[in-house]
Amino acid sequence: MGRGDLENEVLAALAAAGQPLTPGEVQAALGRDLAYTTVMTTLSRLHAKDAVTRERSGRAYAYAPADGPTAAARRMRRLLDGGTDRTAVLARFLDELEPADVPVLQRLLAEAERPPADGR
Amino acid sequence: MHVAVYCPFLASAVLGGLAPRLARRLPPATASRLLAAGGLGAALASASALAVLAFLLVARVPVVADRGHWSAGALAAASPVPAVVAVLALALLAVAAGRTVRLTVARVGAVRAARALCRELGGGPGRLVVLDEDVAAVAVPGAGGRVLVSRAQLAALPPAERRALLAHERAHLVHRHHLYRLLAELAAALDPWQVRVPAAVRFATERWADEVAAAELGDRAAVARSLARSGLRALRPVRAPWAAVALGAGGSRVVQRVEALLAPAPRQRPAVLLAVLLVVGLGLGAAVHAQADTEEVVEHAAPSGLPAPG
Repeated sequence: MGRGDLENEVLAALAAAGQPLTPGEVQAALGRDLAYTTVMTTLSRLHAKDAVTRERSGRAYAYAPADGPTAAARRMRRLLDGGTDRTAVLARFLDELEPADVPVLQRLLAEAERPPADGR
Repeated sequence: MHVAVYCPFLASAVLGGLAPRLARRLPPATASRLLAAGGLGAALASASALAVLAFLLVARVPVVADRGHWSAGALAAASPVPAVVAVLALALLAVAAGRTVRLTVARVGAVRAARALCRELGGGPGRLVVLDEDVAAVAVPGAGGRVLVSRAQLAALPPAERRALLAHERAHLVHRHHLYRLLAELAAALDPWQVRVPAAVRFATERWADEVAAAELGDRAAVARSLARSGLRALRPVRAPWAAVALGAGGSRVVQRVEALLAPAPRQRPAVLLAVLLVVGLGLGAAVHAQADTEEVVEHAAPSGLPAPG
C-alpha cells in the first residue's frame, strides 16, 4: 500500500467528518492501528501539497480538506452526463443497480456484518 | 482452405459465448487478461478471414484482376468460395470497419477529456477528489488518474468500508482497467461474435478491483459490506411503486460481486485457461493458413501459372 493511499484515506476521513480534525481525531477516525506520527506525517505532507488547510486549535492544529476545484468537478458532472461513450472510460464503484436488489443486498449486508467466527 | 477460412468464426463464437461465464468463474485478473487479449485475437482472426473471403470476390472484378496480373476467370474457377458468402463477408467487413473507426474516434475523445479533467483537478496521480454533489464513486484514468467520491458517500461508510472503496478505485487506476475495457470494446466493434465480451470484461475488472481491495484490507467481508451499503444508499431514491413487483431479484452485477466477496477467493483453473487459449490460437492459426492458401490460389490464377480458361 503506497503513500498516496494513506493520503487519500486521511483526506476521506477529513471530508467525512465535515469539520476540522486534530491529528488525534484523524487517527481515531481512520479506525485502524496507525501510529500517531504516521498520521502527523501524512497530514504535513497533505498540507505541503495544499490539499488540506489547518488552523490552530489549542495546542495542536486542526485540519480540513482544502476547497476542492469545484469548476473542474462541475465539468466532471458533464463528462458523466455525456452518455455511455464517455462513461466507458470511467470505472464506477457501482453499476447496474435494480430496485429488486434491495432485499438481496440487505440480506448480504447482514451476512457480512456477522462476526467471522459465525461461519465462513 | 475450404474449412480453415471458417474456423476463426468458430473460435470467436466459442470465446464470445463463454465470456460471461469465464468472467464469473476465473480469478478476475486472469479473466480480464484472457478476455481482453483473447477477444481481440479472435476478433482479428475473424476480420482477417472475412478479408480473405471478400478478397476472392473483389479479385474477380476485371479491373482488379488486370492490375494484379491474374486471370479473373481462372480465379473464379479456382476459388472455392461461393459468391454469396464473399458478398456477405464484404458487407460484414465494411460494417466492422465503420464501427471500429467510430469507436476509436469516440474513445480517443473520451480519453483526452479524462486526461484534461485530471490535469485540471490537480493534486497529483491517484489523488482523491471529494465531490459536493452526491454521485456514484468513479476512477478517472489519465495523467495518473483521480478518484472521485462524494462527501455524502464518504460520510455514509464506516472507516474500514471507506478504505475499501478507496482501495477499489485506486486498483482501477493502478492496474489500468480502462485499457482492458477499451480492448474488449475494440474486439466487439470488429467482430459481432464478441458482443458480450465488453460487459464481461467490465465485470471482471470490477471484481479484480474488489479482490485487490480485499487483499489490501485483509478483510473480504469489509469490501462486501462497503459494496452492499453503497448499493443500498444508491438505491434509496428509486423506490418506485413498481419496485415491489419488479422481476429478477438479485440478478445484478453488484449482488454478484458481494456474493463473490462473501465466498472464498476464486481459484485458478489452468485447464480452462489452456482450453480457451487453444481455441483462440487455432482461430488465429486458421486465419494465417487461409491467407497463405489464398496467395497460392492467386498465384495459380496468374497467366504464367495454370492455363487460364478465359
